[in-house]
Amino acid sequence: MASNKRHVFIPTAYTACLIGAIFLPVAFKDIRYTMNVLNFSGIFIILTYSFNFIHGYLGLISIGQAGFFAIGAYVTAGMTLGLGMNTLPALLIAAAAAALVGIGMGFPSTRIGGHYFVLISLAFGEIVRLIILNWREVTNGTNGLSGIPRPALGGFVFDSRLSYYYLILGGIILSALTTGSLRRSTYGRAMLSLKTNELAAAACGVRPVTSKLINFCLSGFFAGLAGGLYASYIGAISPETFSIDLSIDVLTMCLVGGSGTVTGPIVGTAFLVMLKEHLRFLREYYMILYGAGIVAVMIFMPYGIVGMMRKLWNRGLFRPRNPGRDPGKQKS
Amino acid sequence: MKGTEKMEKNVMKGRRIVFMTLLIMGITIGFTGSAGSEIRIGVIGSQTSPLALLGQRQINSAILAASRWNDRGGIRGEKIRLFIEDSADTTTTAITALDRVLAQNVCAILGPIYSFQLFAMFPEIEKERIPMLTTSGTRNLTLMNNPWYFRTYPHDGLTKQAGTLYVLDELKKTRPALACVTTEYGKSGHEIITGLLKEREITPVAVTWHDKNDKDMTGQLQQIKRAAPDVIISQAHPSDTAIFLKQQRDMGIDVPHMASSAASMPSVHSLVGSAMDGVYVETTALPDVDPDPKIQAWTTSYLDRFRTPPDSFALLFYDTAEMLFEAIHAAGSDPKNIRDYLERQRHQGLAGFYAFDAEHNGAFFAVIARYRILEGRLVPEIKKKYDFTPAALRPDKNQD
Amino acid sequence: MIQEIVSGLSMGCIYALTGFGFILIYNAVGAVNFAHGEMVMLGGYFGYTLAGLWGMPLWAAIIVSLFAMSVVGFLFNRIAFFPIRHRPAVTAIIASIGMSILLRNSALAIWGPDPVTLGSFLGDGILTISGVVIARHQVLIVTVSAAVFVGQSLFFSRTFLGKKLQAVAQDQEAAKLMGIHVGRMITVTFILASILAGIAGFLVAPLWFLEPGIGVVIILKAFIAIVIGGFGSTHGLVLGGLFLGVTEVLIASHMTTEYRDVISYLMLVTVLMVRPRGFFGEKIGKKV
Repeated sequence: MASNKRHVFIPTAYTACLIGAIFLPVAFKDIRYTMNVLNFSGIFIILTYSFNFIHGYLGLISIGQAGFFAIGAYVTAGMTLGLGMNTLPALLIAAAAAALVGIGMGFPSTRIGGHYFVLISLAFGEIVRLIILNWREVTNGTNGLSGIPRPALGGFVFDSRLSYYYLILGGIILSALTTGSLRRSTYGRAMLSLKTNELAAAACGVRPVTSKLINFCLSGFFAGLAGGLYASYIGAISPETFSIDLSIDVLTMCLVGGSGTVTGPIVGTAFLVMLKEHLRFLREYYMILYGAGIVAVMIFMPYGIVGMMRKLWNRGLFRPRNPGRDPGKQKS
Repeated sequence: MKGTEKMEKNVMKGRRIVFMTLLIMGITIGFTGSAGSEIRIGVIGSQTSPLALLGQRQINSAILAASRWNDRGGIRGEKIRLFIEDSADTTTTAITALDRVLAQNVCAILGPIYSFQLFAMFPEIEKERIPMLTTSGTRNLTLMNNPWYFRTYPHDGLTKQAGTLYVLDELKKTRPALACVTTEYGKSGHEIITGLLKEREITPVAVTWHDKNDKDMTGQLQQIKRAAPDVIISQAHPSDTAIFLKQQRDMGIDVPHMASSAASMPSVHSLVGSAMDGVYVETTALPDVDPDPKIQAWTTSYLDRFRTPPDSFALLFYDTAEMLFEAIHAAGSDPKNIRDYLERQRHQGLAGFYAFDAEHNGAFFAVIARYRILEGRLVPEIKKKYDFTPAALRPDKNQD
Repeated sequence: MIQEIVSGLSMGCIYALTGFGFILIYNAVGAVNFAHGEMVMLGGYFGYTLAGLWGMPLWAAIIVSLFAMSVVGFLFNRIAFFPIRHRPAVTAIIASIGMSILLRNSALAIWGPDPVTLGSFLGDGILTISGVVIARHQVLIVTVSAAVFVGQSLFFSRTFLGKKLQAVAQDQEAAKLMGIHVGRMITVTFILASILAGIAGFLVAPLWFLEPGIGVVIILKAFIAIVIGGFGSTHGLVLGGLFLGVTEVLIASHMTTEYRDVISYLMLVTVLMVRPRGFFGEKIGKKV
């Protein structure tokens, strides 16, 4: 019963939000700062989606997403600056490269799990960062690479913040659609059963290896895409950005929004980015609150904002009282 | 049923729209600037993150300079208003800080030290045509042809030159060992020093690298020891410099050590302790011990106000702020006029003499000091002051 | 060569010691505590405040610090682990990441970003034995570590409390059935782990200097040591730590030093892939 209703109005709500998102920047296209925050949020949203594939769908914690992000950024820079390629194809190549590395990361996850995987992801992120830092001949070390061009389509260059916004929005829609369709497909459902109980699912014929590899591939792809978009947007990249702190931020954004959901990454990222900008005046005290916030979210909202809203919805909190129906009977 | 379904649809939609609106309002509240009768200066530095070690002190200097001018009535009667933003330690944070500052319609910016942040900020500065001054040493910054960027700090080439020249000419060493940190600072220093040595046909007998966070240098020191050098030149950050100096002493490698400017920081001295005895330091200024009475007065007032000792960056940042305020005093608050004036300006600051060359490098002095421990106290002695100011820029009267 | 090994051994002892408190918590609640590095940092900072800033003699400072650390451990458990003890382990891991950020930035706010140091119990001196330099403090590190490991081995196998803790670590349900108050035991474990972290802090600070970011460095190295030795095993931890310490120094001394950390991480990954349980650890195969 409850799911029927959701099926009816969720697409409408999504369309409303989509329209809102398309027209949103028109009001702010002249406020440099706001456009910037929107664009950065957008890039991080895509990055958070990449984390969602690994944690939301596979139940693994990865604190190495910054590594894929970095690969996307530097491959894009290398293709455009080094080989003179156009940015758009460079972005795709970078995403593909990151996807390949993602598959590579997927292999160890098939043999070990849980906290061991956390360490591997940590090691991965750090290894990527250290290589970028030290391989000066290729990456220019801390001086970084600058002058990365904006993408161009036909004659149109995505020069302004406004135009870039739409490019990023496209990326977000792509990641959201991928996440959503993966989840809704029968394949996806089988995959989710792995998360609950891997042994049982495997016994039922679900193939854990393929599922994991697919998720890792997608995760790498989107993280790499986000990285390329970042590189081209700012125009200058250096290894400092791709630190463990970024990976942890991504993890937080996904969890706060709601891991495993389709809208979670958007909600979580937008919320946290806004929070950070608003609490700037607190300076280092902000970070103290941030850490406390993570703990609080884990205690009180382990399924994130979206998860909590869903729970409340299922408990009938948003509906008018209907005699003859017991709202307490809903299952989450 | 249909009726309630529709109602629920609308309720849900309504809530989402409200949510989005709040989101939008949240982002935009309070970020529009307004003009007024005051001089608006942006100050961007690291207030948080490990880089706050240097950033906070710089910001303090700007505050000190501005408050002094304001006490005297401001610039041409208009008060200076500083807009301070935190650039933390990534490019993303630097750019958002820049955006916030630019939204306040500032006429000039005193910027962060770190080159990786500056490189990302350059396109925006150029587009907005606002002059930015920073106390950064990385050579490449002024090779980017950004007409709005001004560097008020001797770049690596100069400071390393001072250190290396001193080692070769004054200490007369011929077998140097190099110890560098793997950050940009270390790598660019390494490049410059080996280049300078090569000109004299000298190759370092050992070159070691370490990570900024490394806590143990035994391996590196062993490598150095095996090479039997007659001097060690290091290019590192505060923590690792401290560990290096201490462990070098512990391991009994008894050769002179020419350290980079991190070794002039008071916090490093308290870590190194007695191993500081005899260490040479290449730096731009030594505010806590310079005999010049004006610098001493400045250091005292800085200490009084901020309760933390200033370092060389703080002093030069102060000079930078002063230079900027003088430029505004002379040329008005239009950014283009400020820039034009800066290009011609001659400024005698506390730490030295400033004038910009064609690349917008503004400072050309360096100081070699040696620390001794006398009667239990750490006493630095300025051994030699180098001045590489090009003749074309010198003022007519004598300067240091 | 000997010089490197000697230095590496004392570094290794630090890794093992810091990893030890971590392992205790892991064994007891099955969750990884990312904030353990910050606990070590806190121990060091307490010492710095008491001895360095307030001028207490070192022996008094350590007693007070360890007491403070127990309180911290107790609170830590209450705030970050107890409320989520029935949730899946990932929740606890993430909560500990949050605590790590909180503690790190609190340290930044309280003590500032400048690195500080702490005096050593044996003083600053160095000994030279046939050309090999050993700092007195390094001797202290090795001795204290040895004492701690011997002590804990006796504690867990001989004392009643130790056995109760072991029971909880092995099987909480069974322990409960045996009448052991699991919640209390977990609290004790946390307090114990914090005290160990405090001791580690006093040992680390004179050598590595304290600054708010040091927790991350510590925990990373401890992780690698634990993985090499084997999750959950104390013998493994000691060997893993020593191995890591010595290898690091040897690599820095004889090989390219720029990529030294990359090599450490690659070692970690290799061990995880080839022999995930390390040398002595539990079996963690997950295949059907």
